[in-house]
Amino acid sequence: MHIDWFRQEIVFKIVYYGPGLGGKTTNLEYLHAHLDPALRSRLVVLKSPEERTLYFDFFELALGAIKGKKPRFHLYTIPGQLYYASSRKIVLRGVDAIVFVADSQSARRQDNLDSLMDLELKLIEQGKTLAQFPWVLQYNKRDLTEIDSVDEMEQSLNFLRVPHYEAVAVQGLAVFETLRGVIQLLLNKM
Amino acid sequence: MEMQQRKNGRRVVLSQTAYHQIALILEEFLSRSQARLALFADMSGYPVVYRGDADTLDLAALTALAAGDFAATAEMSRLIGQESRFKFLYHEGASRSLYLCAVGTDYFLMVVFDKSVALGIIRVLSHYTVEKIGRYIQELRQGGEQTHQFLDFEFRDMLARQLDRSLRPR
Ligand SMILES: Nc1nc2c(ncn2[C@@H]2O[C@H](COP(=O)(O)OP(=O)(O)OP(=O)(O)O)[C@@H](O)[C@H]2O)c(=O)[nH]1
Ligand SMILES: [Mg+2]
Repeated sequence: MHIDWFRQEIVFKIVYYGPGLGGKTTNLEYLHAHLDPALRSRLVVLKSPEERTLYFDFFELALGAIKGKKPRFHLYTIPGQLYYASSRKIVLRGVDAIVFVADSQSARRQDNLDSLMDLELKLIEQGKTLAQFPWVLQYNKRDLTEIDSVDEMEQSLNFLRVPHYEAVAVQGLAVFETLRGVIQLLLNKM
Repeated sequence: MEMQQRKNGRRVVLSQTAYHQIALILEEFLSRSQARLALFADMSGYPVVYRGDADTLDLAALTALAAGDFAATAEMSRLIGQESRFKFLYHEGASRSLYLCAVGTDYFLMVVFDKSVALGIIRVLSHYTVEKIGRYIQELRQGGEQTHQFLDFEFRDMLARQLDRSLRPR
C-alpha cells in the first residue's frame, strides 16, 4: 500500500497468483475489457509468442475521489511457469492482497498445491504468511469435464478457510465477484 | 509486530515537504535539459512525482514497466557476476528515448527525451538530479501512524460501496 498525501491517493497492489495456464491472464483481460474505460489504465501484457506470461500483466483501476481521496488498485499477474521464479518474487514485492487462481482440472491438482506452497514461501521471505494475509481462492475452468469437485479442491487447497469462487474465466463467470471479494477482504483487514 | 512489519515494508507514506522539494528539483532538471518528462518513482512501480508533458502517456503502465525493467536487469546483472543492479538503463528510440536512473535502492528517476537532446546532457544532469533527490529520500518516508487518518471507517465504507457499483461487467 502506498499513500501519497500530496495527491491524496492511496494505492493497493493485488496479485493474481497460481500455476501456469490456470487462467490468471484471462481474468485480467476480462476485467480490463469489461470495466468502464474511464476507470482503468492501459493493459500491459508481457507474453511470449506462445501466449504465456513472461514477466507480468498489469493495469491500474482508478476510482473517483472519496472524501477528496483517490483510491487506486494495481492489478498484476505473475508467470505461473516454474522457470520464472525470480519474476514472481519481484511482482510479489509489497503485495497487499492475492487472488490464487487454481486450475480445476484433476491433472493439475499437484501443480495447484506446488504453486500455493511456492507462494507461502515467498510471502514468508517478506515477513508475511497466508494465515494472516488477505487472499481468496478461485477455482477456475469449471466448464471442463475432467475436473475435481469443489469439495475436493476445498480439501486440498483451502486449509485456511478463505473465501472461494467457482469461475469460468474465459466466459467471465465469477471474475468480477472474485475481485470484489478480495478487495472486500483487504478493506476489512485494515 | 504487525505495526513494525508495516513500517518496515508495506506501508509507504509520503511527506509533503519532500514531495515539494523533489518536484522543484525535477522542474529545474527539465528546464536545463529540455527533456520531455522527468518522473520520480518507487521501485515497486508507483509514480511519486513527475514534471513535464505526460498528457498522452499512461504513467501507471509506464512506471510499472520501468520498475520491471530494473528488476529484470538486476537479475541479468547477477547472472553476469555482479553484486548490485545496474545504476542506469538507457533505451534509444528513433525519435524518443528513455533514460532510467536508480535513486538509492527503492526509487528511480525516469527521463523521456527527444532526439534533439543530447544523451550526454541527460546523463550528466540526471546524475546531478539523483544526487540532489537522494537528500530527501529519508524525509520521504514517514511513520505509518497516519494511515488510519486516511483510511477511517467512513472512507472504507464509502469505498466498499463505490467498488460494489463500479466492479460490474459492462
Ligand atoms: N476451458 C477453459 N479454459 C480457460 C479458462 N480460463 C482460461 N482458460 C484457458 O487456459 C489457457 C491459459 O490461460 P491464461 O490466462 O493464459 O493462464 P495463466 O494463468 O495466465 O498462465 P501463465 O501466464 O503461463 O501463468 C488459455 O488458453 C485460456 O483461454 C476457463 O475458465 N475455462
Ligand atoms: Mg499469464
